[in-house]
Amino acid sequence: MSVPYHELSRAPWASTTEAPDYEIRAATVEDATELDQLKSGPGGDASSGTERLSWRHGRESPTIVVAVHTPTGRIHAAFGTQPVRVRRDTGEDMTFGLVTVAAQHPASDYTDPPSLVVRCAWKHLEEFGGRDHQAVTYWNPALEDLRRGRRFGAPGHALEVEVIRTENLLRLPRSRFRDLYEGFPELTMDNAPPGDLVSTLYERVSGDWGAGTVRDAAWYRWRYVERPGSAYDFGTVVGADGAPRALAVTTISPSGALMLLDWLCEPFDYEGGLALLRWAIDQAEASGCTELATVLPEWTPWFTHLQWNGLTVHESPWVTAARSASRRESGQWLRDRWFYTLGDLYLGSESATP
Amino acid sequence: MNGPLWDGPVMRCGRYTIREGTPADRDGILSSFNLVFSEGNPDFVPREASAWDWAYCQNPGGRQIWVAAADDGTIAAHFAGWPMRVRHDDGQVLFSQIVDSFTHPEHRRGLKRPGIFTRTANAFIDCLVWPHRNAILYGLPVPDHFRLGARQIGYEVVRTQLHLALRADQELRGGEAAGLEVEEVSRIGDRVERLFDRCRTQDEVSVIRDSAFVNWRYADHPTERYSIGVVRDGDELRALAVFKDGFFTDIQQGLLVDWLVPADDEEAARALLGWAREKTRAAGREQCGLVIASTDPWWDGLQAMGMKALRTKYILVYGDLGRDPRFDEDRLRRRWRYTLGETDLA
Repeated sequence: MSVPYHELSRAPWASTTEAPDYEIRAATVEDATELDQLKSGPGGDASSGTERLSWRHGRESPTIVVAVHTPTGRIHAAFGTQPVRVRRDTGEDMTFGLVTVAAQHPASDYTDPPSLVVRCAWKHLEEFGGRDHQAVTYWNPALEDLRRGRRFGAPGHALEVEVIRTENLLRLPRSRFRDLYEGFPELTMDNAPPGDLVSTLYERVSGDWGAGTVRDAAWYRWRYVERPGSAYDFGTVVGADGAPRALAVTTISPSGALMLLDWLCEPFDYEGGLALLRWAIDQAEASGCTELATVLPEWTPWFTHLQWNGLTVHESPWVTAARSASRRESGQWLRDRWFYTLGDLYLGSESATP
Repeated sequence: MNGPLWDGPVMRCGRYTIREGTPADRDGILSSFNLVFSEGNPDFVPREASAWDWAYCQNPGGRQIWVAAADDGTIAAHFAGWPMRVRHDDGQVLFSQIVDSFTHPEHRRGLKRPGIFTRTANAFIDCLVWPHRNAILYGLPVPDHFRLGARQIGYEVVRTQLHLALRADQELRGGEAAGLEVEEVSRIGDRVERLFDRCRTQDEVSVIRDSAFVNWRYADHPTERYSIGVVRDGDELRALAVFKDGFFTDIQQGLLVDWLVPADDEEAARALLGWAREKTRAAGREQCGLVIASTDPWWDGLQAMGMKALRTKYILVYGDLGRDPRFDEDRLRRRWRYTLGETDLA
């Protein structure tokens, strides 16, 4: 064997936000139709039209960067996020960015590495990233995207994205819906979108989180009620004082599973949580669902409580990855302290299925 | 597999020689190792020569060590692997777990850009990653090592590792095993390989459980005590598990370190799980844990018996820079079966 010693070059390409024949710039609302022509981004967000762009960004300029082919004026690549308001355990509000589009037109496949979408991503980080802007950029890249990333420079590696978690689904198949059901309490439920009192519940529950999306009435309304083209059901356990005691949001996935997209319940309020589970089983049975499924970080007490109440854990095809602009919110810290549900990841609710 | 791995010239960098480590380096390596790992760790127990010999000279997978030796003989940096013989559909390869990486504190500023550790690691990687010897390098690193490994060898995440746990006071759901006895043995004979073959599923990638591996890993370990439990079927081995009272993911617990049970033998699984639970009780621990892939054929079955999936602090990774292309992320995630037995964690 005679392999020469050498210093392997493990550095990715030099960061560049330019490309010959392209203008790489922040998108405007006028770009919505063109963006629609690009392939779908991660998380199964298959159609991001004007309506959806407006829903994501309201009156604000979208935090999307596009590569416009200057000879034709067509958009050939885009990388964009949706800002998410997150509260840390310190009480400080931060902005995370959920990647909603990372796509490029086949016409740009012949651009020298790094690929056009990576160049857009670098520009995006320059424009919208950083401690004082979007401190953490996160998404759910397909394995195929990560693999392509190594060879062709798609997002994932060139961006120093770290896998936070290989996601596991907590599942209850239809055949076991009734196994423990009779033991679950039946409490007064409200099926309306939560009002302002949900903030009190959120404050109580989020005490255990290092960071998590600010779940107030405005967020629930925006995320689930105003979202175009999707249907969700709310289940709120009403406390003795009339205020929300525990809350879940469900939808039915294309594969016929009842997905618990949101789960806001105090860690040891077993009665409240099991009443939610009973309500969800009722929903699943009434809709003929094949199973009930959800995602929770494994450090949350309900990840274990739900197992003691019949759900089992199964590896999903999803990976949650993030790029942090700050050492304080390192990959390990996010793994240990960042609370999210399917509703934060936009999985299970749109075209993606377990 | 214990011959020299490298027959080329040694690499000189300033006052260091970077070369393959041999048994003659044992005392120097241990001197630096015990110094480095005792830093800030009052509970540290120095590693003895017998433990080093066991890990690096008696492993049936071979010895893989690279060192940077200073001119005064000090081992300044160390990068090593535990090679494991792995069976897969196309034959046999080596997977090597990265272990015992360190830089001597007085040599951390010995060289700049790259430093002495990086150069030592690169030498190991250049000589031992695919296509030269190992199909993949893997590990369950702590966070600091994860970041270093990501830069160094392109660590990629196979999965954030969970473990299955059974409470010591828990009855098995579906009942206890009836009429099957678990026998504790001190060593294992050649029949274990037939059991290993019966346990294998299609496309599976797994460390070979033959008598050489099982006896080296458990029976011959110089400092750790393991209990090998077997269920027999006449002269044949029907199933095997290895138990240890140990510290894992910050919990002192009963540990099922190895699990070799055919996927369709639920009764044998119940017998071994019940045996491990009794040993956990006897050790005064509250739970019995088992690390397997969440795509392992037993993942669902053991949950059905009442085990719960709980977090660990570990991430299973492999090095993507220098990897046999047959073992990509997708295959490793779906088909790689493992236990704590092929790690140095228990």
